[in-house]
Amino acid sequence: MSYFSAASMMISIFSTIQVYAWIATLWKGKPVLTTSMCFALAFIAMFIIGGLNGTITALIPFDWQLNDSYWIVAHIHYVLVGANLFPVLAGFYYWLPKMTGRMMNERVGMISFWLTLIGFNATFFPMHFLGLMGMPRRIYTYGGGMGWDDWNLAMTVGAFLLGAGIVLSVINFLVSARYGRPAGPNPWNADTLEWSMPSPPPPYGSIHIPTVQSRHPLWDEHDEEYDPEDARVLDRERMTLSTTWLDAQPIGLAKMPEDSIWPLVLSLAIGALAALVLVKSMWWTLAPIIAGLAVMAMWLWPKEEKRAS
Amino acid sequence: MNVNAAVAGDGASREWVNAASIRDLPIDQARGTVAMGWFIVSEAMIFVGLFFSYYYLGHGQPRWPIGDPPALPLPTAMVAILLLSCIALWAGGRLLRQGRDVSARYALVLTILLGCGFLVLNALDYNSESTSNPPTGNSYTSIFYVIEGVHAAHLILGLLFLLYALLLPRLGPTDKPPHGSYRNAAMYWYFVTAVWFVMYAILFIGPRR
Repeated sequence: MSYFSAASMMISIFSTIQVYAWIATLWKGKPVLTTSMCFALAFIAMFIIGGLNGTITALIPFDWQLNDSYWIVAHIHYVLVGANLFPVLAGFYYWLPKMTGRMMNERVGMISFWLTLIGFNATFFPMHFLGLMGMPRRIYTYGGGMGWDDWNLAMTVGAFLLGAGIVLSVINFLVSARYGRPAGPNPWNADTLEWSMPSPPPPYGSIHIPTVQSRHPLWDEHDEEYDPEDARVLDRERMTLSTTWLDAQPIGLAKMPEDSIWPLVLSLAIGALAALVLVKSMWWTLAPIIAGLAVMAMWLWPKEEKRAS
Repeated sequence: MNVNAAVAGDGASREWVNAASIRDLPIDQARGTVAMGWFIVSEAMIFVGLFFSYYYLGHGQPRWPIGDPPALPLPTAMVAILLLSCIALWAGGRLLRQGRDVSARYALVLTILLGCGFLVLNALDYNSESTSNPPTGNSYTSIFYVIEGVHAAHLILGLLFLLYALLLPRLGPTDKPPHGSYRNAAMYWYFVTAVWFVMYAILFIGPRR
């Protein structure tokens, strides 16, 4: 039991290092409160709540009381939704202009942000109280008069708010992708390399393999694409540069994968494998395993050279 | 291949200035080897986890292993077989570097046969052990057979790697991937051999101290 508790506690050490790294990044930078940054800040806050209620869940005497109660549901959702949904939305608002070439609507984005944040907390924070009041998880209904009714009502209202917030963002994505104002290459005045490309970027990325001289490539004096003799162009095949690990000196050319049907077949085989395990026909799982190995063998088999030029 | 960083015109920006284009660089042969190294590291973590479980389940038990420790003769023979297979594989690698492709393939065949011999002994060992200590018996037999089974599965994968290398048209450096297939398959085989040595020490010798 002490092992179990210590092993669970270990998670909090690494999560805390992460959280301090994020806070330090914000501390050193100059955060601009765009919708994307709001979602990112909400993510850190939600993740901290999920981390704190997780840390005390790792204490055996506490867990003894709350295991299989709604407390655990609250914890898992603060970690998973807080740590997955919010950063994904932040990423959408940040990078979709790069993908579609059009800006999202910031005002609709902020409304969606507040709906999502308030809805999420109204849905999942009361679960802490319900867990402490003894409501078990994995039930689809419960008798009236247990004293759980009010919090459950609040949670239902919160769930609708959360859903409305997410739907609003999805609508925002779809409408902005078509009618938004053009983004240009670098709408955020960001410092990283993807923002030196037009939005949306061409499929091959940059023609000249960029060189980087500082931690803020687009903010320094150095021109990443400066290459008058076309010395850093790879136009023969699908190739990229291999470099040394620490100081990025070029040492060779690496062939990149060609278009192939085999990855699709492989993923279908893996899907079949998972489905067969689900229906517990274990001997049949040998078929997709063998098929998958055969597909990988075909996929990796050396192909005839295709000279583009 | 003089692609070095140097100070360009304005002094502030450093650039690669070179006569030759990067198009003239050689094909990188080490990528598969690096990938295999990382693959082996992550696979090793599975076995670290399994050995941790072995000690974790044994922690606080009055007797560990529960019941008699596993018999030694067959596992010792399996150590010897894997050692022989590694010597054959290593010799084959030397032959390949000397350009003797066909001899290297014979070494591969020998390694594969020895590996199949290991699997046969593994099955015999399982049959004799599991009659007295079935996998469903207790926590000890459960973790014991899980470790043995996971190792056997990895050994089969290693055999498939070796077989694939044997079937490939070229074993050494190539222009097109997979590069250095012999070396990469051999790395994995050395890994499953090393895991068996650790298993032999922990599961078979350990309880007899």
